[in-house]
Amino acid sequence: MPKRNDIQRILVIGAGPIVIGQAGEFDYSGSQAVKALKNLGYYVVVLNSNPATIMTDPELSDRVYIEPINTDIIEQIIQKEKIDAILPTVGGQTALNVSLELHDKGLIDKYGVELLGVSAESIAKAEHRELFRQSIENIGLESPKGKTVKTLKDAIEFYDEVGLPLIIRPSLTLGGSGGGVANTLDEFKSIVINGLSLSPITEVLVEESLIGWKEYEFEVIRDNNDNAIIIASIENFDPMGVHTGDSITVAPAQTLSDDEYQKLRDYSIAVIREIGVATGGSNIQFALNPQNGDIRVIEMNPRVSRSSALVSKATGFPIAKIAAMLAVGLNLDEITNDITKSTPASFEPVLDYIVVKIPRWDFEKFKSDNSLTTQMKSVGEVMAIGSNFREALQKAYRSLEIGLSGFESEKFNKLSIDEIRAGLGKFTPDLPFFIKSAIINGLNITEISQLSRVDIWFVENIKMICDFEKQLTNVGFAGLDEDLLREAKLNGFSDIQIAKLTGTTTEIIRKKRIELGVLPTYKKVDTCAAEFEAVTPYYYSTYLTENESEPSDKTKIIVLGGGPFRIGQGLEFDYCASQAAMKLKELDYEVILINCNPETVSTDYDTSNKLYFEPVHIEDVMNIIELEKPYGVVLQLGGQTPLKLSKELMENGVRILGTEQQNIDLAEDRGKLMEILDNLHIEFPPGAMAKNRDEAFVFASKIGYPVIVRPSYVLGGRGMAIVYDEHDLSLFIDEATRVSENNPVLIDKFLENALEADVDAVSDGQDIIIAGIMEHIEEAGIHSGDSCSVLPSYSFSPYVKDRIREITYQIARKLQIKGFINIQFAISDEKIYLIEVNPRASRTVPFVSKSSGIPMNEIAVRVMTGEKIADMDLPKSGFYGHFAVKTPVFSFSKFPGVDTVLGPEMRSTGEVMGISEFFGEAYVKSQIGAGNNLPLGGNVFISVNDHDKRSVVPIAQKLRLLGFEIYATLGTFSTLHVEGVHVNLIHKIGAGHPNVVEMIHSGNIQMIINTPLGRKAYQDDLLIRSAALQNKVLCITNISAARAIADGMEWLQRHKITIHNPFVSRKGN
Amino acid sequence: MSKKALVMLESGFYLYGETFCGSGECFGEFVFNTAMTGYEEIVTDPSYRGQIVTFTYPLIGNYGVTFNNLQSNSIHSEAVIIRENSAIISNHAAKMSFADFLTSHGKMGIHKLDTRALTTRLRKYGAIKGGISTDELDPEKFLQKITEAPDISDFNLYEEVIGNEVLTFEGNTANALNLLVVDFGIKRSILENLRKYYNHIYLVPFDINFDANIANLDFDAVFLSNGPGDPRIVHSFDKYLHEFAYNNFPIIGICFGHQLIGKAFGLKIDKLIFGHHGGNHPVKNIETGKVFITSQNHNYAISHQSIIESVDWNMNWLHLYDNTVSGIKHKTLPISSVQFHPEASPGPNDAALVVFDDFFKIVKDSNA
Repeated sequence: MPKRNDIQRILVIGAGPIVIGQAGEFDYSGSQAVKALKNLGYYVVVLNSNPATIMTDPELSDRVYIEPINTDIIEQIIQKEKIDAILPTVGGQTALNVSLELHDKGLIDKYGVELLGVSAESIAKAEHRELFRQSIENIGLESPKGKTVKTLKDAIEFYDEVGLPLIIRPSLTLGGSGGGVANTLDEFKSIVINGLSLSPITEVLVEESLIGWKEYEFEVIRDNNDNAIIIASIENFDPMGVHTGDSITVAPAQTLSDDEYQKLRDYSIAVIREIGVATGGSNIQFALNPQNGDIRVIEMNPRVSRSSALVSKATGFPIAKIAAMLAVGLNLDEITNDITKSTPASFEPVLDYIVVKIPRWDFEKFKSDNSLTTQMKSVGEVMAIGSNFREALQKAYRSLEIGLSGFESEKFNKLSIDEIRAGLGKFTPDLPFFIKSAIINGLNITEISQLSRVDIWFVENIKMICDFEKQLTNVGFAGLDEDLLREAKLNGFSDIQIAKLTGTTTEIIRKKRIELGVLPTYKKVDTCAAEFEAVTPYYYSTYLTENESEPSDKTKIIVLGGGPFRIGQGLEFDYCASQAAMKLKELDYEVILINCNPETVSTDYDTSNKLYFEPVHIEDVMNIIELEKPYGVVLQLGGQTPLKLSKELMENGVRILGTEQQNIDLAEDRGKLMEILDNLHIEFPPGAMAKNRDEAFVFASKIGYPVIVRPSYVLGGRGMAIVYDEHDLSLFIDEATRVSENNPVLIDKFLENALEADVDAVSDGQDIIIAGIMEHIEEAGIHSGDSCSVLPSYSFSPYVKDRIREITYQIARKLQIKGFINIQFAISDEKIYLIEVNPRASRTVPFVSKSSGIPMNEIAVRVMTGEKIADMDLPKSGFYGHFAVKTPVFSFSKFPGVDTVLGPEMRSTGEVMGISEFFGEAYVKSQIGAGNNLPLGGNVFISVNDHDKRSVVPIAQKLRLLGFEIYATLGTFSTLHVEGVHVNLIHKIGAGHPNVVEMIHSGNIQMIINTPLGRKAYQDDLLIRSAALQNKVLCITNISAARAIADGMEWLQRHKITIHNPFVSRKGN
Repeated sequence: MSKKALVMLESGFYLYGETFCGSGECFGEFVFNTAMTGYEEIVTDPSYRGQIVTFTYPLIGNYGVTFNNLQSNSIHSEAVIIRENSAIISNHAAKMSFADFLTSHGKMGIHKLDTRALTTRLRKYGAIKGGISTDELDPEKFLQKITEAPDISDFNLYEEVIGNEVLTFEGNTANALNLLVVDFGIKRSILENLRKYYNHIYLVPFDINFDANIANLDFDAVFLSNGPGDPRIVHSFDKYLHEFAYNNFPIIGICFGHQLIGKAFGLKIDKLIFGHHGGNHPVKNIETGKVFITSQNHNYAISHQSIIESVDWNMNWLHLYDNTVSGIKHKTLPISSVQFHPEASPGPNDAALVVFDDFFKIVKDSNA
């Protein structure tokens, strides 16, 4: 069937902010879909609240709305843009849920729009457990025994029937949030209660536990002619019991015989037909009993998913793009395979390599234990491709940036057998290391497999790695000949590992390896295992005979990606790297991209001219550089990951484009920077570096409390704290960090109640373009990544703004910045202090570029390739009477019991933007977009520390005017009462009923203002904040945010939220 | 103990690998197969007689050999070449390792070489003669031996893939129709599928004296099986086909049988460059527009041009990779055949129902 002509105008809904369970993969799928529909000639409208997305770049579509994703907004867009159809399948669970809501509210019918690809009925069938179970039964398959319940009582009835262990899965939550495995009745009850409250429809599924069964996923695509194909199968290293997003997975499946594989294939196709996904991709999960081959169908996603992004990267088959084309009427056999350009898309990719995915976790940010459950907790992932499992696994560990150069287990090898056995019995990210250490310590393979419940095939492969390590250690450097070295590389060992094992240095190994001609061979990812010639240059390395990557003689620039997503280095950096690659392509360079994160646009084979799916690790990067001999390498766009390589790349004679290394050092070396600032008469908070405990106390009292302290060796606010007195300082020094000569602690004056500003600019060393001065809503002391930022600033005086501009110019010239610069300031009583200089693209570049219209990435790459800003014909842009607010988004709900209070350590996982000509509306939009429930009336509980008592009074007064009832415990009650604010006294926890936590649970509190009261009240605070988290009550933990929220609610009471003018490409469409 | 092995094509291209079972020397036609599972089925498929199979998927042997899916009683491919033989077996149904299975049939297995480099050569040169040796590791000398080795067309490929007497199989059906199956090296799974439709199945070696052997058989239709080799040089059966057709017997066929039907009725047979060997091949049913992913294993095909020029035949299945003919149907007579393998084993089951049902409908209609 040719493409449909009865629809013209299509709305593509994005996934919104990055949260755990829904990350950059949906920018990849969204932007692919948008491009595909645009290419087919449709009028494409995009809705996404997340500005750090390629999908919302106006060049891709006709109209872009960066607005909260809800039915009100969509209704307005449907009306204004005369939308004919909505594509709900490329924006994750967010897009699917809102589409279902549109249908339930009758808006789909009212406006006669069509849901493309999947109907509301199919979404319901796939998402509602009972309907899904029924569907699976209808086609004669089995799903796990289970029951959907809406009350604890019904859940317990099921428990009486089936017994433990049981799995609990809340309906319609992201990444299975709120689910878990219960081994005791108490655990069961508490998970059920939590799950019921998290489910938007107060519903959970309780079911038999299949823990220890093998887990498989199949990616299916179906077209309008009912042709269905499997894009890939995935086998999980971690068995059932660990969320697939938290599992190490491999593609294709390794231990299925052909008849088993075909059975699962047939089942997958039967499921997609029964659920009724008309066109597009779906992902179906199976459990297989390793004892007898029994199969259960676990779940299906009637949309493009995280796994489809992984599978797209693993096979070269662009699932989202194809799904979008099918959604508008095309069939698989009418679409050409992009990779071969000669065969149709109606085929099943075959691999001649193996792919390993490993998740990346950030447990320490949530102060959570590292147990893995059916609830996803990872914040990112890496993928590696190799000739065998061992090579791919080691490459993946090298890609993760957790301080490993491969699958190294040193830390675990010295453990006692009992500790190892215990480690094998728990699902944690450390499980593979425990397996390795168990092998090294002589445990029997069968026992290891039984204890860990990891398939023996994986365990045996790990044993081969161990055996090889032993062999290398035994022969030593002297015995390292060409064959052994090649074998080592083929087993995934990095030069660093080989050097360690043979007792020499990495440099010596590298030299020897090159001398012996043991060089990587790059092979194509071609969808067809070399059956056809592939024209798309997408490569991975291995150590075989023939290298397929032939460097061209064009001028080449390598752009390094940012590796796995993690807190502090998220989608924003991939956005910059992708945009830079696309802009450099336009400037006629051959752009070579290196990255290992499958959830990205940067690893789309469309983004660059040549893609190497490889670890962003010095060895792997240098190997590519030596083959390709690029003109230069761009480092400043991928976050810290590429920047960390700059020194070693320089030493190897690689040209780094942009700011010179010596100037980067000046910015990053505090001592040198302070000297420069002094000379330029720029103020900065006094600070010092303490090399021991005593020095710390001396410096802190000299500077004056409060001070901000942090270990000097970590970046991104890790381990940072604000301390108000000596007691706090001793806690920090003794508990949080071990200060030493090699681990000094930085102590800086903390400017209380200071405002914070952020500047993003691009400079060529001479001229500078300041794209925006952002004002933070939260006071200094809360990590800038966790603060709301406003553009343009709304409260700074002209003097402050001028001075910020002046300082930015001075610094950019002094450091001869060529490319990006980001400077953070604190403003206290009209005094401007410089806090930090970052000579690279910052997290806020996408937000600033979007809201100002200044194409920062484009200007930066043009500067880096030698153009002068003065010669550029730049668009006239800036702020024409609108405000943009960026609000961070957290994933706290994945970590029950976590403290949600904000501080100097960043913990947000994503961001949204609100835009309006009114500040109030922009702010409210960003809050709604971030999922913060702004109540329009009801009860507010206020409990603030002494610092904040005075400032909370006007806020309380305003809330009263807005019609809220105020509740407070004694301290805050007295303050407000004395000031004449009508306030109700409420019991503290443990001091009578009802207390505050009980009121939260019973739904009688709609909002909480709770600033930390200090150590004594910490437990109470924590209970209040986690009750709020559990009951989805908005909980504000700092005064400036409370003020802004109150203003926002005032705005919301008086106005209806309306969509802002859409973003349109300046180049015209 | 593994031995160093030389793997060489007649073109002069060679790689060194290691044996994971067997040793010595063997020669044959090199082909590659892109299936990621199904090695048990592939090596026991009689169609691979005379061929040395290179698996493009790098990890073979992971789930061992289950014996549930053997396509015949022996291993027919001359040798197998893989990237890495898995010494580890992990599957509840596994009975022995792939290496042991090959060893028990005296076959050589080579691994630890760049199978992708070999595959790209086979893509370029097409299915080509070559050899493997653990005795002669000097490429120049071994090339001489390869040149002197017989071509696949000189082999008697059928000697060991078909029997020498008529066998009768009972069907699992209440249908009363009986089928004469002409055996060129049939896969067991084809027989299994046919048993679902036909009451008695008479498996007859194609080179048997037909006049003597089938006179007493009561059959309603004729099926031509898959098998190894070049259909252009097998002529002895054409006259029987003509006879069956003349007597209005429905005739159906798969793969080699399909090619033979085409050839016997005047269609031209082409040799494809590197053939189709894998489990991911898309074919389109011209009548319904539906696309099926199929298992394929052939180096020859009915010429598309000759179908276009034919007054008697329609093409009803088209291969979407290269627009080759994947199935034909006679315009007036009850004759129909497919190039692909609806019985899968290994490969997707998509087309099983459609093809065997269609065949059966033809048989039923013409016996109505």
